[in-house]
Amino acid sequence: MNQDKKRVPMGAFAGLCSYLLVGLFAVLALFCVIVGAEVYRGTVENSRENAALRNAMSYVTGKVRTADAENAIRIAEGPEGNMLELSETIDGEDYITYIYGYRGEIRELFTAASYGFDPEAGEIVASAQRFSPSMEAPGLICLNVTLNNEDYASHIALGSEQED
Amino acid sequence: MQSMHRSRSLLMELLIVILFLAIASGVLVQLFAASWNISRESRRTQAAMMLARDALECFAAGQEMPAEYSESAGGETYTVNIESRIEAAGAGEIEYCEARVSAGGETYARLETARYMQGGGSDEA
Repeated sequence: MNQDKKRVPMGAFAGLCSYLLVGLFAVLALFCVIVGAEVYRGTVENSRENAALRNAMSYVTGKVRTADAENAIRIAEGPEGNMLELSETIDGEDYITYIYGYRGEIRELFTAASYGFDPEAGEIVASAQRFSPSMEAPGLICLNVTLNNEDYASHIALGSEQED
Repeated sequence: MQSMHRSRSLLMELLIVILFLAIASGVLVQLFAASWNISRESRRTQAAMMLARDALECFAAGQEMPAEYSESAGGETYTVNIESRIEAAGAGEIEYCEARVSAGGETYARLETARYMQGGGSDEA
């Protein structure tokens, strides 16, 4: 009789411990999954942000370098801040590549100089809250970009002389 | 007696499982920490490369560069050190410029460029 009385609380205690351990197991497993997901999200976000900025800057820098000829690069007033105007002549006809910021995107429009500029017609190059180039000094273009509420400035040295 | 023995076995089994989980969790936390560090380093390297390239572009355009200045990017402050030296070459001089970008005492980017100055005066990048 006495033995029976002792057995019952021990069994209940062991059962409770088992449940507690299973609960702890579940909580720790959930914690690992949440921390892992958070770290993964941060890494992906970081890498995407880096890639977006690098791609946008590299693309515009590449375009400017390609068009780097005498009086071929001009800073003009765009739809939202300044824009880049890169001129070239193909088969005797003048063409202009406009690179500008419009509605949260960097856009590019390649068109004949005789046609008007329509900001809606441009191809989307990258996402950026703001894109505004400026001629900081003779032969030095500054690209001002705002991405995820952060301002970035990147300079491009020109090899040829420009009007102003 | 048999029931108590079974309970103890189950408890032991669960303890072993918890121990295994603890070890696995430790390894996972280390992996997450390493991943976070690599991500941060990558972000710093990226920002530092942009700042170094930016400094060299300004140098190539003939701008006067201070020996040291601070720039902030991605919520962190970077120190840009500029070292330049001039060497005679032919009819002119070559000016070398090295941009070193560091943050928290660690150097993340180092780039070098040079420009030729005819007769030691005017630029010819």
